[in-house]
Amino acid sequence: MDPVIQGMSMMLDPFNLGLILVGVLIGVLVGALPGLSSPMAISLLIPFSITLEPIPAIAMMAALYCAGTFGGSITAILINAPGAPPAAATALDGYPMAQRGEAGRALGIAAFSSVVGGVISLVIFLFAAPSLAQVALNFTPPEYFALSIFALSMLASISGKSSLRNLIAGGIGVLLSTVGIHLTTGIERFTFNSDQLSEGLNFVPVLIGLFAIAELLNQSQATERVVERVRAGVMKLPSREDFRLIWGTVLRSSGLGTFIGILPAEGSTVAAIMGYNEAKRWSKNKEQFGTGCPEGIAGPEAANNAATGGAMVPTLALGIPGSASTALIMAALVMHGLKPGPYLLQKQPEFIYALFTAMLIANFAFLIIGFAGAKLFAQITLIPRTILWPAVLVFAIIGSYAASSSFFDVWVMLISGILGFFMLRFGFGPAPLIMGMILGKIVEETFSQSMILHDNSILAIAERPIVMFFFALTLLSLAGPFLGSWWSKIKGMSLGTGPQGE
Amino acid sequence: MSEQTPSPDEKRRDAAPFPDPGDLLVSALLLAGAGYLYYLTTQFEEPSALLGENVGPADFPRLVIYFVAILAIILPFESRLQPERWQKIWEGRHKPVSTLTWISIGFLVVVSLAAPYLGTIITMVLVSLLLPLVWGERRIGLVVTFAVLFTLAVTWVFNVILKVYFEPGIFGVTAKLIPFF
Repeated sequence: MDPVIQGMSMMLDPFNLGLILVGVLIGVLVGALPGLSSPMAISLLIPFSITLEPIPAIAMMAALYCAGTFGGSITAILINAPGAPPAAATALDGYPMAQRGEAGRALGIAAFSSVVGGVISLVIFLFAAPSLAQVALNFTPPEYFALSIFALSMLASISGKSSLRNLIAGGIGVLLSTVGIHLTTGIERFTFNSDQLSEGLNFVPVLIGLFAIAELLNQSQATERVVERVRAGVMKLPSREDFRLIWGTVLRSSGLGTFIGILPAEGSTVAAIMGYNEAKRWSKNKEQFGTGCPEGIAGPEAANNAATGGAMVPTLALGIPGSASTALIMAALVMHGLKPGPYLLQKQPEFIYALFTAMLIANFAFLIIGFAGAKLFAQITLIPRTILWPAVLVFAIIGSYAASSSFFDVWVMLISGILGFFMLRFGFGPAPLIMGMILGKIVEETFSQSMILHDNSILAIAERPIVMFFFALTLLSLAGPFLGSWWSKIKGMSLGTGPQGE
Repeated sequence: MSEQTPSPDEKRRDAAPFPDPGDLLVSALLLAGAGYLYYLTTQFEEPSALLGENVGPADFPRLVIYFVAILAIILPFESRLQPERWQKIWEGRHKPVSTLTWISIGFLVVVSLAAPYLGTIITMVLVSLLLPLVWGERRIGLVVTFAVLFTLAVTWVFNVILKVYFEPGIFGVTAKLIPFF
């Protein structure tokens, strides 16, 4: 059967359609709830998805990923509490508009822009992923090694507080990936004579610990938030005047968001911030930004949702995750016995069409869900944290335990969670560690293969043009954040706005 | 340009010594960890002569250890290299960890250690019953209702429908003991 029809019809099966809708519901829910995030929900979902067929399981997570990005905008607009970091920029204009009594209009603009951004990025994904995979099919281990190193170096600029700490967390993740039996020689490494560790560290409990338990401990020191609620009314489609005003912003932000999503390790948050900044830069109403400007909602919403489709491109085509959520989706693929990368798309071309259909359905589903239930989703923030977080803990325990019916994994989750909490306090993010853990295996495998192919000569590897290209990009991405700081400093000093006392 | 009065937080931050003791501690911990892991790599078995020509089991971890160690040495200087970003980290960590967080950590440790003996269902009941109380929830009716209904729902979905194995523990509590399951 034609892979297009096969992939699409697979997702139209009532059971799979139900899974996608469940994914959308969970996504909007966790997106709307401050503290809960799409990566956390995906990490909790992974162990339970093992009973499902791989493609529907991944489709459900992809739907959750799309909807989670949109869900954050509901609470950002109605209570000025972005449910997810990518929606932070939406609150800047969404909340003031809602305060003016136009909550329905703000939600409508957010939903419309999100859907357009999502659909545009999916179309690009549909064409870009197979093309990129076709190019990647010609890659030999050295090229893959260089590409993986470049992806790791992008951790330096991943959203977070510190490039240096992101790189250290990524390095620790890579080290964790080396636990277990060395594939080439069969020698045990860092196993401490433990049978459970000889097969390697199971990344599901680690990621549940880092995303769910660390956040739980973080929430334990938060006070119950008292929020001013804006009456939601009903969600309204943007008016003709709104359409006229935002269409350029939506298209620009969709392209920008998709591009940022494609870059390894960059995610929706960066896309949303850039979407907002670009919307402001191109706008004729710059002075209205921050007071409830429609373009200020459309820009970040189109960009953050477009980044979800974009992030899928390197994840599936190259096996290099485009964001924290796609890193987890990649982990789920590995758990289901699939190896993300060009060979997956070559051997199972229906996979990409199934995912495209699932994410397309998800985009329209959250539009409908958003229209029908925006008021309801705003109410879920009323769930007291003293009830919400114990529920998360139960899911975390069951999720870690379910993967291999072993309490050892619950302890791994606990240790990861406590470490994750202190890491967060000291500025080390969980996403770089997980990416390091996933990419670490690829880096080591391709490094070993490259050395075998080139008689253990690193110089021979570096002489290859594509390798040189990726190494140059790696140097740029490593130096980028530091050069940026110095450049701002120099610029500030030349404008006479240097730090006080200098 | 108008002079702004620094806030108490800013005053404390500006008075922070260089290098920052917190960063020094993290750096020292990372270096100690790197040293220990390096030592462990020296204890790996030697590969056979046939495979000895290739990349050894210790080679790649050592490269990563060097990388982390170099970054750990740079870490205390981050406050000078990227002052704006460092300030955000400083603001996030200078507040002490709350007593409730320490209690929650203790609770998690006890629950994880006791779980194999208590079994999955009892562990779920205890978590949903005790953690809300530990966190200050005083609506006992709400907590009990939540603990019972939530445990039943999770057991039904994961144990009965998805067939996830639930450890009975020393009390032998399984879903079969629950009517209608």
